[in-house]
Amino acid sequence: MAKLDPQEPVFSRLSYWLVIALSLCWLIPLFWVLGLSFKPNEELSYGLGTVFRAPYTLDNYSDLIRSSQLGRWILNSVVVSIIQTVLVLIICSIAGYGFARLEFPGRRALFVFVLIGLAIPRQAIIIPLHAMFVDLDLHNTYTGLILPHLGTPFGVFLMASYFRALPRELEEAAALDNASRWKIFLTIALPLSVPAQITLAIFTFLDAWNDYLWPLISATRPEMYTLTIGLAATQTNFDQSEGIGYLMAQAVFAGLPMLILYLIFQKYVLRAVAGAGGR
Amino acid sequence: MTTLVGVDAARGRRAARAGWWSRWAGLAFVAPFLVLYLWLMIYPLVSGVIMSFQYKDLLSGTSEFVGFWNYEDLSIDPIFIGSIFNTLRFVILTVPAFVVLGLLIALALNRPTRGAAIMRTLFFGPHVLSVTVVTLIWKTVYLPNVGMIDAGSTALGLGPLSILLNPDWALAAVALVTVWWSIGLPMMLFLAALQQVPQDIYEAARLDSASPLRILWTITIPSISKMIVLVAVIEVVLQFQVFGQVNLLTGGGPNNTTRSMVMFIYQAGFQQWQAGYAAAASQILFAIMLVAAGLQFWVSRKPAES
Amino acid sequence: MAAVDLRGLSKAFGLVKVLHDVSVDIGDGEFAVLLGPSGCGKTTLLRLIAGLETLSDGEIRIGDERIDQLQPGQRGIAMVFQSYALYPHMSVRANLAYGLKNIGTPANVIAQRIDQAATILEIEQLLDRKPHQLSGGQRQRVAIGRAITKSPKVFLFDEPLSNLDAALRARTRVEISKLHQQLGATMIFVTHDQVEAMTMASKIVVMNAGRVEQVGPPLEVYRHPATRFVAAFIGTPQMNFVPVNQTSENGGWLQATLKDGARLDTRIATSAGHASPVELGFRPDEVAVDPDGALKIEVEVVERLGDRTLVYAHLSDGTPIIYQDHSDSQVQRGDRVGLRPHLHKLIGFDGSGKALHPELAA
Repeated sequence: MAKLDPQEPVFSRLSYWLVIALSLCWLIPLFWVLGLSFKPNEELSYGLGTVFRAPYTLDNYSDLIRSSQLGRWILNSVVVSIIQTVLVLIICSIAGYGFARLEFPGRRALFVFVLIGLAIPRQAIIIPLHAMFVDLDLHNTYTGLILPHLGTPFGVFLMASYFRALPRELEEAAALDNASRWKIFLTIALPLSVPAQITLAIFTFLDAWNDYLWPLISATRPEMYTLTIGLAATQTNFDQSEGIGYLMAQAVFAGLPMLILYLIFQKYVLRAVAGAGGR
Repeated sequence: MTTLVGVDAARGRRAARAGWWSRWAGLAFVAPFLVLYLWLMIYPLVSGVIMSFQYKDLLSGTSEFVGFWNYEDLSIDPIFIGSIFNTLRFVILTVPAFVVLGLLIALALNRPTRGAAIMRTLFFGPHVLSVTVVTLIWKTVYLPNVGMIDAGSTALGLGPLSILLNPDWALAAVALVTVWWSIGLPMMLFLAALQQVPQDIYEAARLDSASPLRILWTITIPSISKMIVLVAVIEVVLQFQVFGQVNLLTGGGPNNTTRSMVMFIYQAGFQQWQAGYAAAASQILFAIMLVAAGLQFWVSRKPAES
Repeated sequence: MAAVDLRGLSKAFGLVKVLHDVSVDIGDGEFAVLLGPSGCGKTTLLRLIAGLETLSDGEIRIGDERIDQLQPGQRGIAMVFQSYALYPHMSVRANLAYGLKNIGTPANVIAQRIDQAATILEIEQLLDRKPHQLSGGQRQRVAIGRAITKSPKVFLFDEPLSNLDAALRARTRVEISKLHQQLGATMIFVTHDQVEAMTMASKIVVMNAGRVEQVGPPLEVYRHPATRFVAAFIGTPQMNFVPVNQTSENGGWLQATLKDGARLDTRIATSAGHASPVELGFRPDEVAVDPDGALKIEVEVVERLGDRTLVYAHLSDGTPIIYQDHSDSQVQRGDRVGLRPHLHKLIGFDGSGKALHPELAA
């Protein structure tokens, strides 16, 4: 794994080994939780140190599947995150292309107006937004969970800067090839923007899946909880709950899919994060 | 000739129509987003400002204009003032850790080996977990008496620390969770910046027989100084909005030492249903964020070389 | 009928005027080269014809049809871009088909056109590759193929050879010339490379600072430059320019006195009534080495090219002079040499840069 160049300076080698040690520290809480999730709750009540010895059990997981609403919450999270991601991709790609490549009266001013939105934190508008959604009767609906994220300008900004960096000649060649504006967008610009689409999709999906504040306010009925909120609800009365092993099984059950997805798509995720910082 | 002119004129009209369409077609592209943006960002922003000048009780549904009353109240509300200081303390605890630790990890992992790739993946990993999973994990680490920390401290003869119940340590404990959770972001940003540094500068420095530490101080750090500042500003912006961790780990306690600004807004708005009061607090948060965002814009605008 | 008629074209970007009242007629089947230094407006002119920029003033006709108000795709033109602009996500075949598909051409016709173009350009075996799998030269062929499949009335080329290496560039020049003969279509080719212009063009349009300096066949532009700019821009090594101090008449011909007092006879008629020249110009190969020659120069650098020798020298007042000598020349650095420019080749230039040509030798 860590093959080291014998020529390498001691300093560099030392720092590498220190980071390896640190990375192990990063892992400890994860393994700790994983271990706890396989322990019978009764035994854990004598002390969490019992995690280091048998017996181990799958009871926590079977309890979870049988009794909790975890499945429903995961479904809610999946539906909300996927729909939100798809809508954001569509809306932001079209708008980003419009701002990047099309001339229309007031374009510059409008783009600046949209950029200002980057500085508006969600927390600053959450009170009036809540009131709006009360009037529209949108709380405790998927629409209510998804809508507030569709107005955020980050995606427009990201897509616009990507479209702007595409070689203009490609679109000019397409115009000479009799393609309409819309067709140029669909057949040339959009396929070439896939890397940016992936970046935006990853950010949007993570943001939707992990969002805490808005669903906490908007989804107040347990059957409309997202996974994040559902888990929050179970841990508020941590000490009196069904047992630590059970809670940890929940944590694993909720966290593992994301970690697996992350491991599958890590190349894209890390590239997306690194790329977004370059802007 | 007349026919030719006629054809030209007809064509001119058609072209003018096409011109009119292409003039406004762009607006059609951006219109869907603009509608959503106006409806879901700008309108709430404006009505939030208006709301901050109202007394608005969401439970009874009453509202009336009260001028700066909410702001005056906030200025003497010890809990709100305390939340500002708690948030500041939290920023001071986390941001230097993100910058320094993130940079150190990035420096150590800036190499093309498989091991470095694995560790990059590992350090970024917690970032994909939602805040509730993260707090669930760390609650068992911090659990009084039986948690990992307390088990360790008891074994060392220090007795249980019950960190989350200790007013001196609770916020630092939340900060530690936050660093564990999202060190991946600054690390990746630094790695991206490090990979932008042209390799021949390093080779030239080696030919000038500079030591590794000297290269670090005189070549590497100056080359990525812009990113260092940018990361610091980004983290300030992010950490000012801290909410989930404190709400779930400590609920603002013990003794209000971990209540953040966003948490104050949440509680005022959705537990006490004082919308006007919460909206006013939101405006103050927004003002602070605007300064930070302006700073971010200014930093990212500046050319890399001084 | 695909003559291209540019009438009084002007183009301004904001307040910056980049084309001033450009008028050029390009005949059907002609190979016209727009030649000029970078920033002279030649590419802008091409893009105006293509419809990628809108005119500020003037009109463009192809055949009898006025096209300057039409969309780019409707003008009956095809363009080969400097960067080739191949659609990177499409196969070569799809690249060639794209334009035809957009106007609803039946699939069998498209296939047939692609086959034809591929045969002409010998790219049959590349049709299913993506652009990034092709070499620079292959990409260039595909870009030309994409233009051919559309069977346009006019081909536009925007410096298509500038991304090729020297050997490939020379070969491609010949191929484009062949293609022009084969297709018989009107072609407009933008370049800053005078060799491309001289070798391929049937008509050269020399441009400078947004204006047309001269339009004509290559040899005419070379031999009878209309302005000092054209004279200096075309020909390597560059034409020599000698400042004139004073002019007089000698038997109906203009006689120039240089700064060092040397007198040069010319065959420029004084009766023509034009302004007197401030400079005289002659090409490096239009001069004889003659100890009694009027131009006394000191040699600085000698380049022996094998088939000839180029000598870089200067007059006593510092004016640089380049001349061509035979390959066995024994001239050396520091030598003082006398030069006698050919009487019938000396061109005068007046203060505005306009050329005053000598009478042709009888």
